[in-house]
Amino acid sequence: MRAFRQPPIPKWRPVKDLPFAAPQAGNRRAQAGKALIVRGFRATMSFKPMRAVSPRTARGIDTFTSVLFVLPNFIGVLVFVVLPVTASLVLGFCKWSGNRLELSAIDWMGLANFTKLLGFTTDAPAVAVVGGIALAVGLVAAVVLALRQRSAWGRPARWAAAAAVLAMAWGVRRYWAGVIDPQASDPLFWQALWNSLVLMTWGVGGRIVLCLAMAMLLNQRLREIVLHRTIYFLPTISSAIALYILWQALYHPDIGVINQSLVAMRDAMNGLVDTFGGPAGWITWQPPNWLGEISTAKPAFIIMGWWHQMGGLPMLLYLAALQGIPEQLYEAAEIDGANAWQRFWSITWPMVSPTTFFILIMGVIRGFQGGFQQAYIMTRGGPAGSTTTVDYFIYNRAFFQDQDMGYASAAAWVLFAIILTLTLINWRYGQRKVHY
Amino acid sequence: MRIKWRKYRRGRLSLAHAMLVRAVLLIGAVGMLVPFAWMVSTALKDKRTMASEPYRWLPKMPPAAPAAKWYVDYLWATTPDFKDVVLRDFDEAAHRLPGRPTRQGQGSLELAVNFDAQDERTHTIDLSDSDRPGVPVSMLAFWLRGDGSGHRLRVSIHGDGFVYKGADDLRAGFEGWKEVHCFFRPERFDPLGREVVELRREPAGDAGYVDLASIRRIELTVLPEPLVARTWQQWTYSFRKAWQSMPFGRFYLNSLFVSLAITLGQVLTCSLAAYAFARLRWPGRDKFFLAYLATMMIPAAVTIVPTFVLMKILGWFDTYRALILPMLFSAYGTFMLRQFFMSLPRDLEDAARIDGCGKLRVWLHVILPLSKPALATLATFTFLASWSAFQWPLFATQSMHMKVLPIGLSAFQDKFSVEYNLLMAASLMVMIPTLLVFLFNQRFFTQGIQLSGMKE
Repeated sequence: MRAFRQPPIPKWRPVKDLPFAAPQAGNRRAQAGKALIVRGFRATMSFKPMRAVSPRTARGIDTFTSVLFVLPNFIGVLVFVVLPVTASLVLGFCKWSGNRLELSAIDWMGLANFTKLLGFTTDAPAVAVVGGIALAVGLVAAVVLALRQRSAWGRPARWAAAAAVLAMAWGVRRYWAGVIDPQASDPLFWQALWNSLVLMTWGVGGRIVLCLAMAMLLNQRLREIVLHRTIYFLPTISSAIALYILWQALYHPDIGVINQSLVAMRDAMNGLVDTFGGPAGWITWQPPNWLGEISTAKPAFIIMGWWHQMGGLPMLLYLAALQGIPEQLYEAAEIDGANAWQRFWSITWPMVSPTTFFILIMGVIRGFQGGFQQAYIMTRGGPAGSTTTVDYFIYNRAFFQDQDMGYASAAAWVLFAIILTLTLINWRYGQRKVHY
Repeated sequence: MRIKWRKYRRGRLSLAHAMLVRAVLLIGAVGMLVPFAWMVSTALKDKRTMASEPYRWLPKMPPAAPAAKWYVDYLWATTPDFKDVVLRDFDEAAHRLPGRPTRQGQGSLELAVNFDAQDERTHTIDLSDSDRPGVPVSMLAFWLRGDGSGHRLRVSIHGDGFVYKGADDLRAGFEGWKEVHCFFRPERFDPLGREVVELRREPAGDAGYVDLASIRRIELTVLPEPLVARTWQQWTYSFRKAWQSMPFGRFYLNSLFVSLAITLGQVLTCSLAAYAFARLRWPGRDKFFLAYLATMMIPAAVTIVPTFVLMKILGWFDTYRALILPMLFSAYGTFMLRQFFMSLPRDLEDAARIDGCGKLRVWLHVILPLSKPALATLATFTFLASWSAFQWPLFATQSMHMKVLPIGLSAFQDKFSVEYNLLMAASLMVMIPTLLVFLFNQRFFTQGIQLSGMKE
């Protein structure tokens, strides 16, 4: 009955019938305690009935029904998100093949998984634990800071974030002291991290440039624009696995259409050179075996990602942003004599910067935790691990290669921490760059 | 936030500008379409014509002449305990490696038929004179070389009082040698990608094997086929082959069932929870919602390993429950619907409450009908996401009959990793349904993307 604004309901009546002296109303805490005692007394001992409609109900608060509404989803989230996350954290400190489902099959490893992953050969595990906890608490606090800057948690969160910075500084100091030894870490994991970073950076960068260019092209007054939009959107809607199989064939050194056309172009150039009296077979360049060589596997993935994303979701977002720019801005700039280049950098780019920011954040998050499907379908992480992303590393360790759920969980938590940190950095410093 | 495709910024473009934009767009569109074109072109070819030099974009037509030429060689039979018995070897010199016809067919049995000249159409391989051991055989096999003409070949086996006829005819749509396996009781799907013929008994009856000594003759009948049918058969060869090699029908049904279940479940649970978060008042609501949002940041890699273990413990591994249940609840859907519910006017809801509706009834009769676009968007995205989901189904299922489409396609790729015509045909079969749905509901897709995308 929220439509009718009810008069403010008076507070509970002053207490007269307490069997003992109530605490003096000196401060808020004492008052709250008093109220609690009164309520408890009334609810349990008093012969006076409670009020027919409690203030909460009158204000439309119905906890029971609301919880019933949330419950189906909440149970699912509890069982399939919260429980696994907790279990994953515990598993990160264990070694377990996952084949035998008994507790005796699980070995407690302490911090060994993490030290092996990251190369912390510390002589004092307790110190590492304290440092780790400080880091974790600090990161959580930073989340709080980033999400709500004026919350009641602001001060403790700031302290915790400072503690995290201290922990990091301490880590750097230990690194210089030679206690943290990258050589002792898992080289495959660091390689996977590097691969993820490279793929993510080029992927996101290229996506922003290409999608913005595409959106500006598709934001023109042409009759056949809808057809183009459909064509550019096709890869987004196609089954990703089918496209990866297709691109694996396209990158094939012999029958792949990419190398065939490259060879055809080379031969045409050679023919041209020959026609003008140059040496026969002047260009001897051979196209690479894209997915079979360490130096070209990652570029092949990046190019495929661009093709895949060029007309997809980011492009549509840019298009919507471009159409939201008021026309007057351009008219004013034209009157002032700005050329197209100036108009782009002073109007278009700032006006679409929220979209850019959104695409950047989502790209970083998705890019860092993705890459399994491509690697699984096209290269199985090869050649020599050059396309193994962190994602593929984790699943490989958990299900295919060593079958060590504990080690995989530890790696997953490292990945989680990295994603969280990157997101927070984006939030804190990216939003300042966004301006209209 | 929506895109108006017909209402453009600024006036008419200058001619040069329009031409430039057109050229760039056209080049890009060609670049987008070439991979798809290559896919279709490869799926229509067979192994031989795929590597042709120079590259052909269109597959070859079968020859128009009403004639067919086949070569048959190296007949053998397999006992139920997998021992081979060679029945006929017409060109023994060719078989340095056992079972591998290496030459171009000289010396092999030649079946050449000119259908205009009414040539002899049935060729008989007489086995009655040879002394063969009286062992049961479950499979009869031979090497066959077609000429790409696409006419049909029918296999039948005649013995003492029985006739087994091939249920399907062989097509000469391929060039080069192939191994043909005739089973008395074949597996439904042949994962090795062989040419498989099911032999059916006449009069009807069933036997898993026959006695080798009682087989008198094998008859191969060549049947003519019109050009259109031959072309069709030849171009769809890869598709039929892929369809026969793995239970793609089952994959389709699995995918459909799982995706529909996930979509329904998500729309239901998410809209309930979103209503409680958007409209109902209860202590701790907003903090709780923030915690809900925070779960969206957790990468899948963290949750998949323990969820896999949970499925093992519950005994749900390799069941539909494992495929559906973990995907049924999403914080993202709740978030999206909550944002939409908050934007609905309260008046209708209040009117319903005054008329005596309970909260559940308000949700069902006021909120849900008002938020059809948001629900449709959530349903579309959930459906697409679960239709293309790969990681979780890969780890949660094992057996062939539980695979969903992407996993089935991946398994198909494992089997036929170099036969690109089959791979492309299978990929196309997987892609076509979503493409069709998209082409007919384009507008809806793009608007849904805008609705969900920017509000995050």
